[in-house]
Amino acid sequence: MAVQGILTVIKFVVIAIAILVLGLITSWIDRKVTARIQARVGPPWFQPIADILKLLGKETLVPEGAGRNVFLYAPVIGLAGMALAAALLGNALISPEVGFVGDVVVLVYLLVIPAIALIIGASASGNPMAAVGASREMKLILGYELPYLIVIATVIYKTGFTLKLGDIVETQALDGWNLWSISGVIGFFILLLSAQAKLGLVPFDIPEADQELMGGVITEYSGPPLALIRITKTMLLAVLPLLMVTLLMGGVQFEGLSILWGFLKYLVIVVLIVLIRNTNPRVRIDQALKFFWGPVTALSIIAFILAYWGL
Amino acid sequence: MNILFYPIIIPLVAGAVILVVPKALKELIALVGTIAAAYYAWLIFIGGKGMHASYIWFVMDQFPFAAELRADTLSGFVLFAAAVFALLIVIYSIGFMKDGERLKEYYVYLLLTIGAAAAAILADNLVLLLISWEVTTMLLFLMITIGEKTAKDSAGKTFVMIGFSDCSLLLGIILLWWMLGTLRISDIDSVPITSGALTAVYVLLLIGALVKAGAMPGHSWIPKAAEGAPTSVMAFLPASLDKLLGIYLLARISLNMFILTSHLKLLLLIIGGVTIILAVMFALVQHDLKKLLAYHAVSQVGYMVMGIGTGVPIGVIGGLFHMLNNAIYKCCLFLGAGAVEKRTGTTDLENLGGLAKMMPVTFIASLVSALAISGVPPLNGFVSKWLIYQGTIEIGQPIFLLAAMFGSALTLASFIKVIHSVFLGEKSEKLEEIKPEGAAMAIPMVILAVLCILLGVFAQYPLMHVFGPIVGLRFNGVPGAIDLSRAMWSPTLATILIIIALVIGWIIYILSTATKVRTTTIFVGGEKFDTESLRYPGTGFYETIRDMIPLKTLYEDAEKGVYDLYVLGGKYGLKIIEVFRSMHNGVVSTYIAFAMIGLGFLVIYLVR
Repeated sequence: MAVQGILTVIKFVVIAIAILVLGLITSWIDRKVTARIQARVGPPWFQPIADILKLLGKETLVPEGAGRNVFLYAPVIGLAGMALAAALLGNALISPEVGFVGDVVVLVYLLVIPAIALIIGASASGNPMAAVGASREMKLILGYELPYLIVIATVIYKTGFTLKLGDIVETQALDGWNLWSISGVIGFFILLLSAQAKLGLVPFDIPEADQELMGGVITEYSGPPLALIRITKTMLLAVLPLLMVTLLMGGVQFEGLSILWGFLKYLVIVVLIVLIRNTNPRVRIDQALKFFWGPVTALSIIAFILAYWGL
Repeated sequence: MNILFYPIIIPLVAGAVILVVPKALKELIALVGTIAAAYYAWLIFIGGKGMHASYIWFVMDQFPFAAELRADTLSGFVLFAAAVFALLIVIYSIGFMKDGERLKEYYVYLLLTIGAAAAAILADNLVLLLISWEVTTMLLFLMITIGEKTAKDSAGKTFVMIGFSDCSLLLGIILLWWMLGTLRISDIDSVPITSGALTAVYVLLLIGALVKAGAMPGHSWIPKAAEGAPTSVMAFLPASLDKLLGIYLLARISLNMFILTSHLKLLLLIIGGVTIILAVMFALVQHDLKKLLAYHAVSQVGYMVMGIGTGVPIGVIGGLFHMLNNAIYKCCLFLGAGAVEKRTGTTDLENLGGLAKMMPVTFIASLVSALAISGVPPLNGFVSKWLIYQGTIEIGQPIFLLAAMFGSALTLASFIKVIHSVFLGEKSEKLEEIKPEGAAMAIPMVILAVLCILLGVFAQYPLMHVFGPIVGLRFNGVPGAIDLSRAMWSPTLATILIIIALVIGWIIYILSTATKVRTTTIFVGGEKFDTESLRYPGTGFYETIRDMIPLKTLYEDAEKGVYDLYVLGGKYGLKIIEVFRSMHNGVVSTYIAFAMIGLGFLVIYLVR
């Protein structure tokens, strides 16, 4: 029993690291594609990891008047939540038949932890720019979370009331992808937009807003804490497209060539995210809120009703 | 005397003793009284199946005036929880109320409340339940008046609203007696609600339970009470004890006495969903810490009502577990607010900030409970909410899953605001040097915060051994899903993984240079830095949401009291009264005409 427990733990740690590697590759793809769009050459393949290693070697600065421990440990907590979410999702993909801790509600909650940690860290820094960034980040969460949850409820409805990620994958293997229906297509685009906002990419990089807030929530971070935030974001960049593949596109099968097929699905989503990011200007926070709570939520409700009618 | 009488009588006696002994002894006696009550409550809790006791005072016309008591798994557990909260509040009050006025009264009311609450929980007779229920209402009124000068209004509104619900409880009990011919709770076992009259009975009892617990639309007394009442009273009654009592009665009537129809279940689900979302929307824009917490005290009731409304074992367990969890973290949050109020003299979010360094214990305890109430895994709030979600999925109602989960996100948002404006952020210059909170205030908060963590990480044990047997009142067998060691959410494993991740993060810090930090000034792009003018208090966090078009109307209406039954009742009640008032126009001939008409009806009735 104890041995089995330790093996489980090791398995989860390995999965989390694998997701991190996937995230680093994705991050490189992102930067390379962005560069090509802007008619630049782009960085070499090891650039994302090199950036993180460089940050780890840098000095750590803490602003005076900051809640020092909270400021320094918030990124660690964010990373912990992220790693757990990554491990659970990866586990559900590798062994969908084991229902063990693979639950879509749990995942939704865990994916909020990095954002909360960042907000609390920003708030502890005592920097007014960071505080403004924190408030924007929280409003942005509220904005995208509503349509995002409605889409997840739609998926749950379509797969016959199951919260297990493994069951969602297996139902799609039997009945076809959730994507192949009107509600599925609408849901796909809403999840894509939410992923954009969750990742803090243009047009929803409002909390960081380089030009006005100088990084916003991460203004005061430097050195190793910033490296941890980077790692967290990198993992998120891999987890969100994977979650979309799982919910709507039949997951990833780990047998022979199916892995490549799974990676292709993943790649399509990543490229879409990168394209949106490079072809849009940043919106204001009130515009983003109105956008998510207005048309996007309306669309997601339509998707839910369509799913109810079996479309 | 039977052990069931002890937790009722000991606090009552202790309360009476405080009135006669010298002032200096009041804390000691309150402490002894609550410890003894908690001890006997514990014995009842662990001994807890099918204990009965009765003391017959006299019999009048076959109707026995008797104190009939009964303990089962549900009441034993609720009683123990209530007694523990009373004990923690007494410890806290030693620090918090130190130089308050009317202290003797305060401790007397506190002890009497726990005695009356114990009687309400253990009562096997609806009349005894009603009487002790009303005694707690009256004591709540008295305890609120101890607070600030504005407390009179708060106390009045509270008394009117709960008094109204008690009245509905009384009507329900009368109707029940007329329908079923018995008032003994253990005799009313799983009565199917078949007729309209039984539905009326259930709804009347439901109003009694829900207004006490503070579900919408009977919620508005809680924010009002928060304006005036001492914070320790808020932590004791609306945050923990009234929740326990209200949800206890709800569980008793819904699980034990009646079998709900699907319409009534839907009613509960809707009340739950609406309460969660609306109350938390109001909480989001509050500027006063106590009022903000009060709206959360309303919002969380929604989860419990929803859980019980699902009517499936896993949802019901979630609802009841949430009752306990909510009492724990909400009590802790109010105690934290009280400590802040005590040390800074204000609960206005605008004027607080940066207290984390001065009051570290309050900060950590409040942070843990704030994360727990937002349902962040692996804390206790997450487990109970998760069980409720499972319940809504099991009955095929993802729409309520949505309401509950989005409510959870809004809860998180409003606590981010609290944490930022009170504990982090920039300190307001209006604040002087702040002393730490002191042991008497710190101990209860630490205990509650630790409970938040333990009940989350080791959730399987209370679920299997306490809440499983409780749902046995209605359902055969305990659902396998609550055996969390094999279920989809394994809190212990998740915690191990989180700890591993934390250790890895920490090692990265050690290996790099993060432990040797350099302190710099805040970076604002090279501008000259003026602390006070650049301060960004959390009160501005959600202005954007407040100003959004459909929501703006909601908030403006709320300020006008459109969602407040008390205000509405006052408005329309006055209209009705004006009709009667205009009849009394002071003209003798009008009164003679009324008398003649009345006489006419009387003659017709008698002669016919």
